[in-house]
Amino acid sequence: MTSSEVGDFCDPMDAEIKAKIKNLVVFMCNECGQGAANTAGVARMGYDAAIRIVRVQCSGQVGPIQIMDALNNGADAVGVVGCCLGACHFFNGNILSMHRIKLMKKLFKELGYSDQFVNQWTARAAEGETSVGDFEDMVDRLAVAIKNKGTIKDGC
Amino acid sequence: MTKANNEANVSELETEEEPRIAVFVCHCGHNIAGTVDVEKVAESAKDLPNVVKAEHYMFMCSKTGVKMLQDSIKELGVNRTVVASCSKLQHGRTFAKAIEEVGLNKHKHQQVNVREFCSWVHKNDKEGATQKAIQLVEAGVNRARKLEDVETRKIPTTKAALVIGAGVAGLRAANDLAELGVPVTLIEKNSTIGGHMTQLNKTFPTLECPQCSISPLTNGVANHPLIDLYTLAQVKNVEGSMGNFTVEFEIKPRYVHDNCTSCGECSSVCPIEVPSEWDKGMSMRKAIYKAYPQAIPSTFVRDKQTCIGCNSCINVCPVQAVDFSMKTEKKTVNVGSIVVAAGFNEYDPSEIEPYHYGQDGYDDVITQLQLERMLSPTSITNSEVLRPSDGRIPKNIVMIQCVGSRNDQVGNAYCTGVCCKFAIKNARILKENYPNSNVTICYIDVRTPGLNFEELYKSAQEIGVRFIRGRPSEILRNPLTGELRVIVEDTLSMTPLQLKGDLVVLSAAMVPPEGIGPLGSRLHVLRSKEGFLKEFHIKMNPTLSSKGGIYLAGAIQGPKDISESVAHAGGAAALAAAHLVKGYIEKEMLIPKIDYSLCISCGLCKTVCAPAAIDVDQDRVYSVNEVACKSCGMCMPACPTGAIQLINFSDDQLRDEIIPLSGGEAHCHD
Amino acid sequence: MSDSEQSEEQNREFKTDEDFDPEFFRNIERKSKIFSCIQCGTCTASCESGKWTALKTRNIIRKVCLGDLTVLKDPDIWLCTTCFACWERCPRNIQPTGVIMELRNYATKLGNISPNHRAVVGYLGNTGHAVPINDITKERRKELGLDELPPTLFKYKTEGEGKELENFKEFMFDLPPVKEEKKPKKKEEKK
Repeated sequence: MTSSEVGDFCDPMDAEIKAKIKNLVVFMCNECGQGAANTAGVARMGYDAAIRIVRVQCSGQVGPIQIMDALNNGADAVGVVGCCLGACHFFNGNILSMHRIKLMKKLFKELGYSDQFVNQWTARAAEGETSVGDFEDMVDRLAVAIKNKGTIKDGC
Repeated sequence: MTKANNEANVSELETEEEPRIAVFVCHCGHNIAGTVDVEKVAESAKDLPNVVKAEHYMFMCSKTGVKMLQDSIKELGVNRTVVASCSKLQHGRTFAKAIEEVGLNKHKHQQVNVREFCSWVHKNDKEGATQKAIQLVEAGVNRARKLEDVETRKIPTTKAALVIGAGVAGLRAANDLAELGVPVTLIEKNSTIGGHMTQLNKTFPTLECPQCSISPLTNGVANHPLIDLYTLAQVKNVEGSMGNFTVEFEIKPRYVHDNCTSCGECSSVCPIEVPSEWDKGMSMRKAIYKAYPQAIPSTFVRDKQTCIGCNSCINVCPVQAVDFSMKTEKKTVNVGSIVVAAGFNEYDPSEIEPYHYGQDGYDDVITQLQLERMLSPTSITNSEVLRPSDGRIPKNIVMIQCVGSRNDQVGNAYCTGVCCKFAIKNARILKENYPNSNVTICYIDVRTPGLNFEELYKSAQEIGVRFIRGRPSEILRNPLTGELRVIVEDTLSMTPLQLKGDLVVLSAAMVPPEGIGPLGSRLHVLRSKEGFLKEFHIKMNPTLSSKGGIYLAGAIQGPKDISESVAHAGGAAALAAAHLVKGYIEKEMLIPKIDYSLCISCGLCKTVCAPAAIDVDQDRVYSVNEVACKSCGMCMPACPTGAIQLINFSDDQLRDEIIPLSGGEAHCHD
Repeated sequence: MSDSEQSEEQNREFKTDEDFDPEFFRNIERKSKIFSCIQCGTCTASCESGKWTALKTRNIIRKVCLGDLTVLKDPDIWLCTTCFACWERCPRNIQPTGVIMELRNYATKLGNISPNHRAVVGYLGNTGHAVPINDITKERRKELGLDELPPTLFKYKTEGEGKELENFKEFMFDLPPVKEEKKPKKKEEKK
């Protein structure tokens, strides 16, 4: 997942930007996603309190409806976390999810928004730090997007 | 998009009972209360609609805590509970069981994680953590409001099993199942059982006779009262799901009745001779034949394609067993489990052009299986290894490893893992039988893991088999003399070599068997990218396929040798027997519901469903197979109208959870 | 052979990690996945040149994988005829011919181009042709009624706006001078 915008540097701790990042909804799958978040919790790893996790059965269950529900109701960005390749408990849910999010990003771009409002990552149940890194990545990408194009509310 | 759906759902709900929700926020000692202001969270929950009780307590998982939960149900008529504490994995089940004890369906509990997802990870941001916890609890309450009962159903199973393939893995699985008291239908597409193992000369590492090893099993299976064996049979259609499959298979006519005494008179008078498939082309068979002398079933079989209809066999048969009027039969069985033991094929090296396998003038380039056929006790060469071109004993034998394996270009990227072992075994036998000949193995790596195999390698080296580390680039033929030379670099001494090859033996890979494509799609099981059937989990469940109730035994799941195949098959049989012996499957009905007023019969849900749990009938009405469904919810986003919704995970219910977590201010009006 | 060159580097001593630099060939690795070579030897066995010369393709690739920079001094890399037989037969889909061509580029920058190849570059520079015309061919052309010199760059080398051949020669064919000492010289111009 690369964005033409990432590559700029923007300090997400910049007060003005930080004030705009309040609600980040992350859908995490029941297997690896939830496992990774639990592992991160047990290890007391810290991340931004703006992250809110929603448990779903499989990352393949997350569709445009869920993503737009989040964005329409105040979320600043949405993330989808599925199992790493080859490990999906339901075989190919994570792959479907990857394709779906990729299409959504293209759609956002077509509509003139930043394509960083929705992102997809993979997780491994025992690797809490990877997921925490992904959360930080989410905040960074959003900060750059806000700096360049504004929040999704501004663009609405 | 789904507003109409929402309204339908909401109105549906209004006719049900009024939700009465109890919320409990756990301190978990300092784990939660140290960061999150639990009192404030409990207070905020009081104001939410349908909440009749909101409290905080030190340890919800303790006996007292659980009692609080249960009392709220008994005394306040609470019918949905929310506990904001640790993770669902940790204590979700504790609370679910607790409410079940007092008569509530265990799926009416919603676990909110304010520990791993909140207090433990936001230690430096108490205000942010508390705010987040308040939102998480609101989301949990919203979710709880629309939770429905989910029943756990006991589905009776059919106590019978189908085993596809009667090679060593299929035979073992059928035997093990029958010993557990499960009636087995065993089908085999060839005319005899035993598979590739019967084609071998000797098995490694002990150099035993495979016919002798497998004979108790083949005879045991053929005579077992609980096993019905059908040869020349293939699966045509599979319906149903785990515990209750209906399988239709087709049995091709043998044209010889079972009273055949195996005397062989018919074969001796048959005028047609064609290369024997079982003998890998190393000998001929008649149009009416028995694959090999010890074949089971011992009934002869007629090959209709090559038969010219002279009727000599009919005339000469002493018991009038030959009957050209026999027809294809169809049979249907009801079984509770299917074990797929369809085995493998030997890779066809014709694809590798530089080795010239199968080309004119290169008759002396053969595969290891063909070599086994020549060496075996009943071979046409009387167990001698002869050059196919002129029938002479070869003085220089060169074996080439990794043909079709470890080859990104042509063939397959994987290492078969068995070829080094059988090449060394055969090389040793050749050197023992023909001490004056030169036996060379050209390899990239010698892979002989496991007990007794390195010893086999060493014994081959000691007896004088030459090992050259180098992959031959091509086999050159002198057009005048017909002599073959193998061009290889001995990488260890950096010497390019031209090896004389009176006989060149290619160690070909193990590849998926013919017909696995159609079989796999009839069973609705997933295949790996190499073409073998995909196991459920490579480590924890190598004998289960992607579909419940269908198990994998032997090389169909990936290249393996006989010991591994037998062990694998035993595991598959045990899994397959479990729900049959128990008599039922216990399953939670966490399945999707289809709103037929919205369904447009597009079939996208069926396309996306990996366990093939969505059925369609002739009228294009789609329905969910309750037993096969794995509750993943992938069908939901695929549906263009939102007609299919997973129970307790519908778009509507997820939206209720998402809204408070998103901040709750709708800023886009539709 | 390279062995005799190496004898001056005391080949009786052990080599250590400092003698290798695999990162040096990282660019080659990126394009050809050379690190996945299993040293099977199919390339050497297929090599048309290797049948008659000292070229051991597999060994060249080995040195690249290890990061043995003496390969850039190895005269054997100039023996490749670029017939692509190894490329076609490699089971790991590595492209040995491509690697050798890259190595030649690197080696040339260090001044290690083989005399034959240097001569060809010289012809290209002086005449605009890798295989310049000779008297026999000129005779033949006269017999057929054609001009002695075909209408190519060589014929018009003194004509044209900017004296094309001279221009090309200056910026395309400036090779580092013939290496005198053992130590590789720093390159001055681009090839």
